Amino acid sequence: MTTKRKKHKKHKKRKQRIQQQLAEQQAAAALEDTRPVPGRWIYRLNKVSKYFYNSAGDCVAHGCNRVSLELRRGDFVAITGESGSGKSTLLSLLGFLASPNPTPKAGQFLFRADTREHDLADSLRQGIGSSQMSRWRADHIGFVFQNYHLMNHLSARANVQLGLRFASPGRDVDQADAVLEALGMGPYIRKRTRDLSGGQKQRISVARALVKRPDVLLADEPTGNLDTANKCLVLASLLIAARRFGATVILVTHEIEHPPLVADRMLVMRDGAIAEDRSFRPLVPVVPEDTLKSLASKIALQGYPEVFNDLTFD
Amino acid sequence: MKTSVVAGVLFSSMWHGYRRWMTVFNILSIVLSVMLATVITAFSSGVHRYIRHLVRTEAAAGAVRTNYGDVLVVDDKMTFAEADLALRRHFDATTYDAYNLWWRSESHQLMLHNPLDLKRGGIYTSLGNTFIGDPEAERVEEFCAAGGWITSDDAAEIVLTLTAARALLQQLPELHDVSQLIGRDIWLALPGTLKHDPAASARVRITGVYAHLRDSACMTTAGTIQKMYSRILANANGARDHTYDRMRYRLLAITPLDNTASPVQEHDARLAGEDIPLLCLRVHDLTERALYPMAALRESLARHFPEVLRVEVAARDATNEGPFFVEGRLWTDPPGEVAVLLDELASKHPKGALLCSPRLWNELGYEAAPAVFTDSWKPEAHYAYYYFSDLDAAREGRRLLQRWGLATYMPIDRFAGLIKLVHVATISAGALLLVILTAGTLGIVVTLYTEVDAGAHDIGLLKALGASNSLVGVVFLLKGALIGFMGALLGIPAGILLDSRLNQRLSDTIAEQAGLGDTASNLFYHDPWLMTAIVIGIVLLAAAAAITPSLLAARRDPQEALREE
Repeated sequence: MTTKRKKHKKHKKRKQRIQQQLAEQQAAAALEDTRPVPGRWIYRLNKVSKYFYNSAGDCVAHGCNRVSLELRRGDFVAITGESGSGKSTLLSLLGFLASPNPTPKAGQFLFRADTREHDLADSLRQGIGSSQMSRWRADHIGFVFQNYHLMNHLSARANVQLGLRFASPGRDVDQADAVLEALGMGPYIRKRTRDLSGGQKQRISVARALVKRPDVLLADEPTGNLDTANKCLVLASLLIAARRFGATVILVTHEIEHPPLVADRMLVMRDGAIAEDRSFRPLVPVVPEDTLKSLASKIALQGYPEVFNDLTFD
Repeated sequence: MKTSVVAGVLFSSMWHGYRRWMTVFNILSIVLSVMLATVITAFSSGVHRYIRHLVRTEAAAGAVRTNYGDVLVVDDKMTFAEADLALRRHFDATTYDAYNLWWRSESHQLMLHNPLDLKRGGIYTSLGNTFIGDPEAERVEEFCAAGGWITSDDAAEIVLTLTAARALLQQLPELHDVSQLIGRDIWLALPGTLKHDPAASARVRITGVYAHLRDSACMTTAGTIQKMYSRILANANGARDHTYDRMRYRLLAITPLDNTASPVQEHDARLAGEDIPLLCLRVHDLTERALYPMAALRESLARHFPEVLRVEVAARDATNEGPFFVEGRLWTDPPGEVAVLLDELASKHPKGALLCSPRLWNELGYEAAPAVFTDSWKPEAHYAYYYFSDLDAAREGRRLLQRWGLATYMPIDRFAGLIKLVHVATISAGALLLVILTAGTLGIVVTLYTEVDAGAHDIGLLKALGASNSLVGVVFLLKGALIGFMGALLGIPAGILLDSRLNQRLSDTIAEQAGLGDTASNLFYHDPWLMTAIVIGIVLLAAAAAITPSLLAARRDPQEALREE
């Protein structure tokens, strides 16, 4: 009995070791695979639509009307447009918060996570959308909202850590503090977010998105409620995410002066369709370059892999 | 783990302002429901246990007859409990439950059965008919003899030990050919032997007559048995007509030589028309006045059936007034015994034991034997005793009998008033419980709906951060179950506490109501299984109440939810 148990234990140990090794190998491979390659496409939308229907089944709004779009890793894309032009709808489609119409007519919605390509439209047609979308949201997408959307009764740290909770294992929850400190929120780590100012809240929100090291960072008018200094900091953080970590940053904004400052591509939406699509080099960094660099180095110090080393704006 | 995160976030956000009080209210209403449920179930089962206890003790004291199988009473002055204890001390297993006893103990099939007239204080011990050769039975017999206990109408069986049987056999060399039956059916081989117990003579005047038909050419098929049986009866009653068709051979008591077959198998064998080597006909409950016709029966048997070795008639005490009793017994597995099974009841109630029903007695055709059942016997007012292994089986059996239009009596009837009281109390408390439970369940639904609505922002955010729909749904389901569990956790002890209070107040009143002297009993019984069932039931109910809100939460569109601030 005892020898059997011992044997079993030994066997178990060996099994565990092998499993661990395998897991390490897989993790290493995954790291290899997920390392963003600049310029590689991450989204490919081909005639993707999102219509809204009332209860009678009539189409009441064209959130997105046959949008075709390709986004690459490291892109900093600004989306502008009038209210109701479909910016937010496009953003929620890209962030997997909403699904395109799963009709047979729906076009292609390709998302390249890890090494594989996924066709969201296809999986929706097969009825497997919702859980896959939540998994992608957890693993690949970071959100920054205009209204911060923090859990007000939780501390700053808990809020930031919440950004990691649903992601696949292997991410370090302790990084939350480091990112908060880098964003100048060091003294407020333990504070409840309801007691903080708007700028501080938004910085927590940015930290929550950054700590996940997302492949895609979606910012829905993140600077709408902020003062100038905080605007700079938020935009700088988004820049760092794009330039240094290779995240695809999509910034929805009303403030027409921002896109030319930070983005290298601008989409203008009208009636659910992309009316203009311009690429350019960003004009001037909104933040002084040295501030930006020091902020970047602070965040970079926390063990993020630097994919790009391009923070110049000439 | 992710569930705990979502649960932590959502629960902590739910714990604000009025929503907190809604949850508290939910828990309180569940506590109230569980408390009430505990009291009701404990009261109901407690009172029934109490009644059961009373029935048994009173039966033992000779006050009532019991349906709890044959009552074993071994002495006039002994209470049931004492008797039980005494027998338990001396023998491995005895119980008042004759049915169980038969089945349980193969080594010592001790059966002590209720005499017909407990009220007169005539208390009898009877051993089963097949145990003469059983050393345990001998011990029982010695035990009874040493105690000076009275033995009953089966006295012949009891008193005749194996030794005595052998001695008798030696004296009766003509019985030599059946001597191989010794150890099993020795009494069957004693033609005309009537054992009369002088000690019991004051109460019992019995002659035992058993018909023991040895297998021969005429006894090989069921049809022959049937024919023979009708001949016996026809001859006994002075050739009065009887309908041949109404004879049911299955009602005959068959004693096969090969004792391996169970009565049921035997029965089947008979139905299939297979050969049955031996027939044991046993006629019960004949008064003294019937002795003459029974003697005639014996004679007629002897005349017409030279194969008949012996006829014994067990007659009843003539001093007993009242209606005619047909005593029924279930003879089950013990080998060589008589099996009279009522198919319907037996098939419906393998637990229940029905020996002979009036209906079947009719089918047997007792009008065909008016000599046996004379006018003064009031054949229309016949009774049958049915012994069931437990109260439920007895109730079921009673329902069946009532469906046949038969009046029934059970000892438990004596407590009908008390039982009705308990019923009324249980039903009214149950109605209250239903109201509170409904309110509590609806409260959970409302609270969770509110939380899904008011917590839309949190739900949306969690989903945006990657919580899946099912995860969010499960959390709300858990919350519902948690409310139920908390309620049950607090409600059960509260109910038990309340019960102890109520018991102090109620036990005297109830005893008075029932006209009982005994007030010591606890009216509340907390069955651990029932309590567990209540907890599980409440948790399931609460979780069920949470199903629609959790579906709502799961289906909540994160994009829309985030727009609500």
